[in-house]
Amino acid sequence: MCIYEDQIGKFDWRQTYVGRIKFSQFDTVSTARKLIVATEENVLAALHLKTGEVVWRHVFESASTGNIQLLHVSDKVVTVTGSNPYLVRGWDSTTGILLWEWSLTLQDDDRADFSEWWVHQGLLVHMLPVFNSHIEVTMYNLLTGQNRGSTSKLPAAWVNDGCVLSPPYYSCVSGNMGAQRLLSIDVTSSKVQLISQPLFDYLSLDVFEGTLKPLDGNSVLPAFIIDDKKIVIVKDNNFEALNIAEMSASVTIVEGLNGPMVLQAWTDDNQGFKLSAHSVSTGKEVSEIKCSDPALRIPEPELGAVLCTKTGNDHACRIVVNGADDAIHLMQQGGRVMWSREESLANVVAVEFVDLPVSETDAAIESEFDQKEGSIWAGSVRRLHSQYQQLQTLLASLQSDRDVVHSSTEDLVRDYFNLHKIIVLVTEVGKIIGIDNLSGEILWHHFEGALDTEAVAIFTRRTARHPPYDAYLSIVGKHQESGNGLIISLNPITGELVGERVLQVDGRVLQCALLHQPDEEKLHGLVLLYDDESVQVFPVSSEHLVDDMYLYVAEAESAKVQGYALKYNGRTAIAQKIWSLDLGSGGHRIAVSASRAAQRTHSPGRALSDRSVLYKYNNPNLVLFITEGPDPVHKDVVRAVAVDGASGAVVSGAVHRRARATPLAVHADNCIAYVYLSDKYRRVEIATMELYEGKERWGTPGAPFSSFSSARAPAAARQAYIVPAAARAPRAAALTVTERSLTDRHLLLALSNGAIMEIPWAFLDPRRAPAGGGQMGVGEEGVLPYLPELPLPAEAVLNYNRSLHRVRSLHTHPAGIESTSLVLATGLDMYYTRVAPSKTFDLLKEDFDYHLISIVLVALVVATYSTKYFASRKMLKMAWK
Amino acid sequence: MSLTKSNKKFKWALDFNPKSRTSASDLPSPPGYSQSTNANYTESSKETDSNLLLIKKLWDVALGPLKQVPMNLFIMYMAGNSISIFPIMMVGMLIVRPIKALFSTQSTFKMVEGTQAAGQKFVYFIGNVVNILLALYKCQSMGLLPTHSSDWLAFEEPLTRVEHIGGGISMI
Amino acid sequence: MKPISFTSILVIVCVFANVSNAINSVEEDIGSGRYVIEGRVVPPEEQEQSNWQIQTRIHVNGGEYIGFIKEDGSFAIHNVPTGSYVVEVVNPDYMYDPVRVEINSKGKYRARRVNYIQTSQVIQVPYPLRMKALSRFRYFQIREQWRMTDFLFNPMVIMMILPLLLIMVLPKMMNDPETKEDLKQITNLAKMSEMPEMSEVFTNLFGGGTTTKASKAKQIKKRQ
Repeated sequence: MCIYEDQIGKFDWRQTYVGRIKFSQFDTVSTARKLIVATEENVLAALHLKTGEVVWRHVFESASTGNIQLLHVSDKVVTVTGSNPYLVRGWDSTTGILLWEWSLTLQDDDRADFSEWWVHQGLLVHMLPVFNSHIEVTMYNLLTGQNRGSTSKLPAAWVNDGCVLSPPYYSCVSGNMGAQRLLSIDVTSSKVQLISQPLFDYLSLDVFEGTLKPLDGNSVLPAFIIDDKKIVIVKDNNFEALNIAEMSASVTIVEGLNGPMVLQAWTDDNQGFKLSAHSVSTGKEVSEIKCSDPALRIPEPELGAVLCTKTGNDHACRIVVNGADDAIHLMQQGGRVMWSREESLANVVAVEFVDLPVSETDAAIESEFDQKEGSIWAGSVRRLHSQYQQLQTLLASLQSDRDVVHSSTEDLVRDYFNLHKIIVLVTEVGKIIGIDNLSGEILWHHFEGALDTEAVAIFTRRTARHPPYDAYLSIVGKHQESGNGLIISLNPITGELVGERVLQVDGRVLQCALLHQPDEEKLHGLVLLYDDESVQVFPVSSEHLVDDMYLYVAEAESAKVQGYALKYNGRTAIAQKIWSLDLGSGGHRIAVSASRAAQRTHSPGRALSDRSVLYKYNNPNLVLFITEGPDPVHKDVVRAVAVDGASGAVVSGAVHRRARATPLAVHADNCIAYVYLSDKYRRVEIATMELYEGKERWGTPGAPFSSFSSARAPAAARQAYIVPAAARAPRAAALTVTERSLTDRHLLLALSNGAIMEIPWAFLDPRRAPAGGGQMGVGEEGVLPYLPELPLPAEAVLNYNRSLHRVRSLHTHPAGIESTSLVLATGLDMYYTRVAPSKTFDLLKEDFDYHLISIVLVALVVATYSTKYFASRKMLKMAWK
Repeated sequence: MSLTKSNKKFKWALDFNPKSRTSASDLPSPPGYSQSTNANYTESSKETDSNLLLIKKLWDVALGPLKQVPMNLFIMYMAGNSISIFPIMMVGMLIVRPIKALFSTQSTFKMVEGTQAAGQKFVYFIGNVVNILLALYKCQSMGLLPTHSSDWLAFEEPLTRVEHIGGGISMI
Repeated sequence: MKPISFTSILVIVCVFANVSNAINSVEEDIGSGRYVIEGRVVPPEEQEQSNWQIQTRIHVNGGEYIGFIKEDGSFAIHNVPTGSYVVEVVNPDYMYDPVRVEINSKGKYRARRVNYIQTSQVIQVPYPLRMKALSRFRYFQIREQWRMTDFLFNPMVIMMILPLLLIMVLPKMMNDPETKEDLKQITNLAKMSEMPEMSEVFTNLFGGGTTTKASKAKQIKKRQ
């Protein structure tokens, strides 16, 4: 089950992410220069300046209690986290060790969200604007939280929700239409100094939209932007306006060699990424800080921390640029990217494993077998030809071994055991990324800003097994603005858009599915069910293949499930509502639904110890719903309902009283497992269920299963186990999947302490019963006696000491060899490994000694022949005696 | 003839062999002489003796398999019911040997050409069958015989389905 | 070193308030009912990792609240409402026992061992918490070392070597005259105790009858 110590990193990799950058600052004090970042994912991290690797990282609570409000880097790193109460913490910038922390609770909870924080002369300044009334400013000792004794209340009736803070100035546009004034106040100064200027000094009022925008990054001068047109710098109690180069540019003011510079970055549709710098005082362009790179595509770049130092007479700058695709780039002044981090991978919403195409020579061999026609001669000529080709490639590979130059695309061919795959990940921002599963390297990415990934489905519509057709993958989501369906189709091997490309459909998609029958081009049609219950099929030509197709749609909040039968009526595909089920009686909501994993069922039954068969209830259409809701007697109740997705029949169920549901449910074969929190005992329990037809089989062997053929309810074996982990600890669950389902099934459970546990199904077997109970399964071969607590030994930790923070989901996929299942854990970190639930029975041990066995064989052959020779000589001698 | 002799007895006549018969019967037989055997008999017994030996040999061969039965039982007992290499080897040997023997019945009884050894052959056959049955019993008790429906589960075709479903939580 | 106890600070953001009263260190008085769970993590014995403080985190209820430890190992989790919490020390290399901390509405703390099976069982542990590393996690299998004895006592090897010995050594023993004698005696003994053969019995049973008849007939013939 577990690996050897020398196998660390052999089959697995971990990538640590921090999330979309919220604040970034360079740590210039400590010897090893770092970039300190605070992110939307509530992570504080130090990134290595040269490589971009994480030096140290602190992951705060994922809830609002972990929100980072402020990052301030001086000799220490200071963060303010939470949302009333707030926590102020100081960190050592080199090691990342916590130095101090103190808590702060605001009395006024309602307006706490409008709080602004910054550090001013070693004091933490908290500002709370009360709209149309005043501004409250409190200063605290950074280290202890001692109040300096001043909660000053600055009268400011002009304050509204459009104000911006550019420390220490708080600026607003206020006044009646046509007579707006630009107001600014230094909130930290002891005397109230209000700067007030008519707005039309800077902008013609008829085009004014009234938006003020603070600068990005860590501006060295207090400044803000009006309507994306003018930069206004507050200087010497006066405003100073500068023009902006591009409407959508990200602007910051940095300290240059000759005074402050205005740095701007934007992406031009034609010219790509652009960067420019102007001196604030002179308005001249700084020549060396300039970039115009058509090859560099950073959608909506946003400037982060900038650090400029002097090398000779020139600037040497390090510029952090944050894209709308959540990627963070560290650039030099000339636009050269030193490193990039694909931080969108901290938020993966959908995953698909894609098989690679076979190599050209293998494809040639396969095509040889495809060509059935032709005489024996033609066949043998083909044979010889392909053998010759194989020999050539062998020789070529031998040669190329010396000069190790492999282009990455050439390596993307299926290996013998089909362990090499491409993992396509859809991230929350709408970036679609293809990564190599063996190295974890990003092969391609495609950013689709319009994709709303709240509900997204990903389908492999054609695998790479059908040359000459390429693999085909579709992602169905929503359009960000219209809410209509958005289909993105691409070739998962290259990342190129194919087929429908990016298509916005006219209608809101209720659900979607793949047709089970491929068309002539081996492409599975994509069926969309719209909210008006109309159906659309992509491509239209495969509409006639809609047959025996059922769709169910569940509404999470109301727990109503509806079933549709999809048919082709000769002209078009239609949907017919055939059943409706209300699981939400009593205010229940669906916590999770788990439809049965689309995999082969290996065995139709389970052999018992008396060698009779307990036949499984193998319903491929079974869907599991876990609902939770209030109960008048038992506070909260969790219900698990197994529903036939085609006929709508409730097949089995279970109720857990005084419990709350977690969104963790797995379902494969006839096995069901789900995790819930038992409020009564304050612990995490996992309930398992197996459905059986009984010792007599219902249908004839080999007959296809139909949901409508039988109305019998299967017998269910149920059991629950305690997961010895703190409440809310399990974060993700998955079952291992293998090619033919011959191998044992293991449950993978990601816990909050960063471990992925591998639990054999034998431990979760619902037929486990206490010894002497006389229940089903007692004393049976392979069924362990019941123990309430699941063992979670350290050996069962898949990722050993490579802890994973905030695992969001686990994905498994079969490899080409039966014993192995590929596992990807996504979350803040990404971890890939492979598991062999029944050990690698179909592989030689990786420490198998080829040399020893060949030496032994050679020695035996030599010994045989030499003894033969010696024996004959001896015989000859004997004969002469 | 003897009757005349006893009736007619001359005075002077010397009876040279008066009690030839009786004395001969009284005297102890010379060493090595057996009354029940004579030349003719020895001759014929020589012939039948080799025949007997042959038959004895035949029976030896015929009873061989039966004689193995207690030994086999012992081996079976010792092998146990666990499935590992040695028990499997033993069971394999138990089952293969009698079958081999059955196939080579003709050659085994070749030495008695011409002689009909039907009985022996029958006994030989029965013995081997008994051995095979024993081996099968052993297989059965080890659970190696596919006699239950559970043994044929693996050969069943994978499940096919009529309906195909898709769906999930509403995407809106 | 005693763990530094930071108290929740009540800040009254109010202009006219007397500033010196704004800070209130008495927790019980805070209306929000937020408490601090305090404790100390004892560093693992083998100090091979230099910055174990970075690796170690405190999870309350599986990450609902997260605490970080300071240089000296002390930790404090702020702003925790009343309730029952499982406090775990999360370290990738060392195992720590979790502790259940209960804070009642009066602000009283009780710390006890976590028992998931008998949830009502109370084994108190001192509060403020003192978390000690139990042991190092053993994540890895240990590779088997090749040992001579393992090799020799392998049944296969024994099976190979024993016949070899029999073949090689026995003939040599045979050559020895004394053993020859012994062997002879043994074989003699075996012969002496030979049981009447079954085949003979069978021969007498089936074959014997016919032969005697035949010989009798011959005897008669000869007499005539």
